[in-house]
Amino acid sequence: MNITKQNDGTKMIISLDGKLDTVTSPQFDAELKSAFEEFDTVEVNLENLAYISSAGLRVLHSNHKRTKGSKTLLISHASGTVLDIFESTGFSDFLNLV
Amino acid sequence: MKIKKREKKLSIVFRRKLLKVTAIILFISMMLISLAFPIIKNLSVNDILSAEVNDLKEQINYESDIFFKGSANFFTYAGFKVNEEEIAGDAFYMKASSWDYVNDNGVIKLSSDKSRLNKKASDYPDLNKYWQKLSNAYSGEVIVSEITDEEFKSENWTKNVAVSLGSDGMMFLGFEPENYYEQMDVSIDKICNFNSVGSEGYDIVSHRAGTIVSPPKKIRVRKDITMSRKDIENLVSSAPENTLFPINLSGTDFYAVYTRVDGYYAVSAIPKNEVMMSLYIMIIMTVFLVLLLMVIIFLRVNGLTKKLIVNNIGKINDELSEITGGNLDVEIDVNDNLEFRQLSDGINTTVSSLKGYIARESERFNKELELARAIQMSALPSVFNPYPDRHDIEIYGAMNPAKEVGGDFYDFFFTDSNHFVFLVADVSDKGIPAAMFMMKAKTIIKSLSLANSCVDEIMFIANNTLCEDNEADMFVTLWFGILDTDTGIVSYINAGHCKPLLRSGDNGFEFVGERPDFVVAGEESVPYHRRELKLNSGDALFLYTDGVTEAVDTSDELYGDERLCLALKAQGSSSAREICNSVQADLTTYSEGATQTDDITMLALVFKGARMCREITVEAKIENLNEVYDFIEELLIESGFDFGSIAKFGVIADEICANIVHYAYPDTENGMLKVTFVFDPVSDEASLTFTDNGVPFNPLNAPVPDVSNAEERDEGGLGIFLVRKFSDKVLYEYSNGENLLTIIKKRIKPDSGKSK
Repeated sequence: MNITKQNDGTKMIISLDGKLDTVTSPQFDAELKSAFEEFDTVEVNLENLAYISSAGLRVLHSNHKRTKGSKTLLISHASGTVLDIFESTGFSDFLNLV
Repeated sequence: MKIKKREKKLSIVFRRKLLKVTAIILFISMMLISLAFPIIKNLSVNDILSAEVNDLKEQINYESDIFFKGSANFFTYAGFKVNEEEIAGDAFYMKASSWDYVNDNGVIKLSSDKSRLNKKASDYPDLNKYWQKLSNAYSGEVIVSEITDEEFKSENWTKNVAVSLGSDGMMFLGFEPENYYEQMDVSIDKICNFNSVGSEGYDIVSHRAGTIVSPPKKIRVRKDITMSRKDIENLVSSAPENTLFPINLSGTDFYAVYTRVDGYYAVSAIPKNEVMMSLYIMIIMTVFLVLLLMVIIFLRVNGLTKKLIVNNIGKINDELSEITGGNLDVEIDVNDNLEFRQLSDGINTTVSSLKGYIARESERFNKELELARAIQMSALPSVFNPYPDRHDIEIYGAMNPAKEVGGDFYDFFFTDSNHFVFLVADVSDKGIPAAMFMMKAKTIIKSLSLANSCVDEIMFIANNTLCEDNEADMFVTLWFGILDTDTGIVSYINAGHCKPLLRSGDNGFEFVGERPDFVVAGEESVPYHRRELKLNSGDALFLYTDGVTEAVDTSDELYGDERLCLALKAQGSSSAREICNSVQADLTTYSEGATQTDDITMLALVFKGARMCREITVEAKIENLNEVYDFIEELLIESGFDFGSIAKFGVIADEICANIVHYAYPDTENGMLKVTFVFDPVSDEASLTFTDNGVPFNPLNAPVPDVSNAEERDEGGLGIFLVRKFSDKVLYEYSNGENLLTIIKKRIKPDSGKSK
């Protein structure tokens, strides 16, 4: 999986390309954490994400919980299987999907 | 072979018969003419010559009478005096050889013979004869003696003339032949001068001794009359008088008639050649006229026959041959006469009732044929797609018989779950017999195929079975294959059949096959050679009968292998139905409505892939998982799964593998993880089996997480929740110390779009 980061001055946009699974989740977790250290708002662009497994969901869930109330985690361009997974697991209820 | 004798035309037969009859009539007329010829000839010549002779006779008599009856004037004129001097003077003048004067009392008073003086006339018989008749006659009455035949022949005769002197008695004169001739010749020598008989014939008057009196010598020379005295003798001695007879006179053949008159012979003769010539001309004219008549009759009868009979028969025959040629709508209309009108009506009635029979029969036959066609068609598999549950093969077949029923057939069926039999066959011949043989062959092959899986054995037995009782000497060519759907291997027999076309990989269709084996049902116990070809996923096989390649266009040119190959190559990667339909469409375009002469059969098989089974075994560590995921993804792509399904499989694999990596081996560092991938085109499903030999764990027993409050709850159980959600079926098994978790998921083809 490729992770690209983009700083637009107010927020960090992390774009994921590939699969977010057991293998790649730790790396994503690390990148997300470091982003929140610098920015209050982090947008995760899932446009090019093929799928997300429960390992990836856990990363999103833990970061969401951790930053809830102080910072903003935005999830953008979730579609197809990824959106299907968010919806069927109830994640779409609490994630900020944009 | 027996050669049929050539039949003659009626007109020729009739003409020959007519000619024969005419010839016979002609022959008979000729016979009659030739028989009548001598009679006609005699009659006609006799008529001419007898007339001539009678004419001569009359003239001689006339001359004789003038002289002898006139001689009375010498003795009865007014100044006549009975005295010797005067009488002797008259007698001398008259050239009489003797004379007597008998007075009224019958006494010879004066005579040239002095010894008879004063004797009685009755004393001399020659004198007495006349005296008896004339003693009481009037003066001037004359009796002239006739020269009898006997006297004439003996040449010893006297011509006597007696003249009554009334009351003065009678004068009697006698003429010896020489005196007689001397007196007469002068009178009659000219009577023949101007007589002519035909152009070369002539009349002659001669003395008894043969001296020719008339015509005179001068005219004889001019007329070239060379009759000699000898000829005259010859003439009178060879036939009676007044009779026609042939005679050679001075070297020329004559017909002649003669008569004797007053001491002369009167002869009329005509050369035979002249008579014959005129007769021949007459005969030739007659023959020519008869011939002409016959020719006219012949031509007329012939013409009438032709007009009345032959032409009508010819017309009827022409129309009949049109009828026998199949056009029953022809109506014969020959009504020149009653007989032909009856014949025409008879034929018309027969044909129309025949038409009725044929219509009824053909209706019945057509119904039966329809039934036969329905039976035959129902014997051929006609449901496409026949195996909706199987996704490894696609098949389409079509059979268009040239007649209502045909000898071609195709067949396909599964003998078990992974053996698919398919064949195309062509029975030698068309129509009902071929159709019946086809049903037999099809049944035998199918039943043998269900009991055996070895193509060469099946064909060997089928051949022997079909050879038995093959009275009609029919045979079958066929291409018979059995596909192993697990491996894609087709084992086949080609028994004298057209080579099929194979579409393999990205190459277009190409002909495959070797020299074919012998046809089926041709000869018992011939060997058949099993051959093999391999079908990979997407490959197609096109089977057909020669009705395809031997279809003709309107100019009788064959469709041929090359056109077939081109038509198929233009197809790309079509389905079985599209392959057959496009070949059929190309054939229809090509033949442009030319009559289909042979059954057209084709069968296309597209192989969608063998059952795929692969596995990978890695050490159960995080860093190995990508290798496993790539392996799965690659096989899913190869099996034709869509991206949505591939993503879902990715999720499933990650959940399960992570679970194994994290929990299966709590006590050891080197546990194993095996993933087995199976794609089964039959059920169109992929199954993934994850195997580990770690702690026994059945994830299906895990509680279902509450997804309604995801934000607050623990993430546990989410993984197995997703696995269940994305799988069609999840099976767990623990055996031989191994956890076996199998995920089964139906394929969704890429083009079918959205994920579930």
